[in-house]
Amino acid sequence: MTFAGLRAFEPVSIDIKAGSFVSIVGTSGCGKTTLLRIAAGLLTPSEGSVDLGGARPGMCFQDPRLLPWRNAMDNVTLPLELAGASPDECQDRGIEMLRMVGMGDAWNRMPSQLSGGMRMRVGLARALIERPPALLLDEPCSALDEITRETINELLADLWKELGMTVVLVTHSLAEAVYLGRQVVVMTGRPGRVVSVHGIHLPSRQPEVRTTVEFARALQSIYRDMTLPRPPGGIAPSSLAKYAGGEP
Amino acid sequence: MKRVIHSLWPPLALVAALLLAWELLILVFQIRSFLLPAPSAVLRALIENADSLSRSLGLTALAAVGGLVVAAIAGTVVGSIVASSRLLYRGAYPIATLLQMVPLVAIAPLLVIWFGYGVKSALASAAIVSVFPIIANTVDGLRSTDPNLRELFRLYGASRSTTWWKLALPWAVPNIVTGLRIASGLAVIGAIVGEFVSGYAGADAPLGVVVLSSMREARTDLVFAAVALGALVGFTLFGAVSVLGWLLMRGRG
Repeated sequence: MTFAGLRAFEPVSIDIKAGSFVSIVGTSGCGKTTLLRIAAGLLTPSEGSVDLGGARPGMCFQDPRLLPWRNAMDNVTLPLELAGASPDECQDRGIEMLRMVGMGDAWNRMPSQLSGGMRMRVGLARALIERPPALLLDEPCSALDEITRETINELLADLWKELGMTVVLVTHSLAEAVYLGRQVVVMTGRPGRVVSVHGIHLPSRQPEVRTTVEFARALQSIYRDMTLPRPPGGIAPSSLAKYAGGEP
Repeated sequence: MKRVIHSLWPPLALVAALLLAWELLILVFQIRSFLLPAPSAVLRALIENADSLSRSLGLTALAAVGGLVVAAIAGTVVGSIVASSRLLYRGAYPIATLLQMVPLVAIAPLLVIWFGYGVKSALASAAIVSVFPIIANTVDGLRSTDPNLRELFRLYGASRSTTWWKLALPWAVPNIVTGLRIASGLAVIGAIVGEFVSGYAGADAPLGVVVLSSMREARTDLVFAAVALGALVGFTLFGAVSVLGWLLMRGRG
């Protein structure tokens, strides 16, 4: 994949088992989002391909991208409407999906009347309404506060268990990646490449698991792969002196 | 209702104060009626000529509303075509801007040649004057569509026409309504200028002709009465467009 002559990726090959939950982490600019957009068909790679089994994946973005003139129900049913489904089918599936994400009572609220977490739930319901075989999540919680992020994470875990689709989550949060993912792919940038793939084996998937040693170890091993090498002996005092105005 | 009253009373009070000052000015300085009639004289002229003026009002309103409707449809269609391609935008937009500079008064006689005397020419004149702000605002609105939402529609495989209908056009509604608001005032101006050139005198004279004929007869009170009715058409159109805009945009936040 190249952008304006710049190579965005080294050869990247990720094998994802159908029905698994994979988190992709990496520093800013390492190409995680680009990879996800290629998988969604929004970008065409200059070489290679992404195979998600043929069907169109569902996708949820950092900003839920709701149409401000449509209520929650009409936003959720947009993909079906664009695919030519009947209004009855749209309504039935729309209310089912809204109930699934805990928004059944707010179906007629406009996006301006919804909180950030509620808007994200609507975005998730829209991404899932076509029952896609894969769900692509591009930092869905990064703009949310800590408590809302927790509830959305729990919802994501429940939806994955309930629907059994493949989920690919791009996130900046290592804790989120480890808690939700059964596999964590670590990428590094310029050009983007996969550094390592970690299988995550935790004793449980309850929120309390985040205080266990196993969770800490998983985090540590990923963190090690993400840390940039430092010069031996740290930063030389001589290189700091010129910023302090002193002589080297 | 309380909010409406709250927002309406300051301008209404100001208008009342200005009318009162005007009336007093005429009384104190004994200004002759054919130079500047008092508001009470204008009101009297309105009441005495209510029958003929209401017919005139109807004709001018028909030309202005008809012109605005034609401009709204044509402006949205042309704006959508211009915004649909970068090449068209770069080619057509400067030409449209230049066309706006053509003085309407100079081309109004041409409208008589093309559409004949009567309401059709006034309607065409109103449409020509009011179409540009609608085109310009439609183009701006369509071109400002959120690229993230465009990407969303691409993700779901929407065609260009579907994207226009379900995304770009609703997105551009606030801009189009702004264009319509500007155009509503211009439509009345265009209709009256058209009537100056194409209107029939007599019982079915539109407001533009009433202004001209009253001026020749030194009936300045009647000129003011016709101008006031023309302004009323403009206010009503502006109000109707504002209500339409509110209906189309409520809940957007």
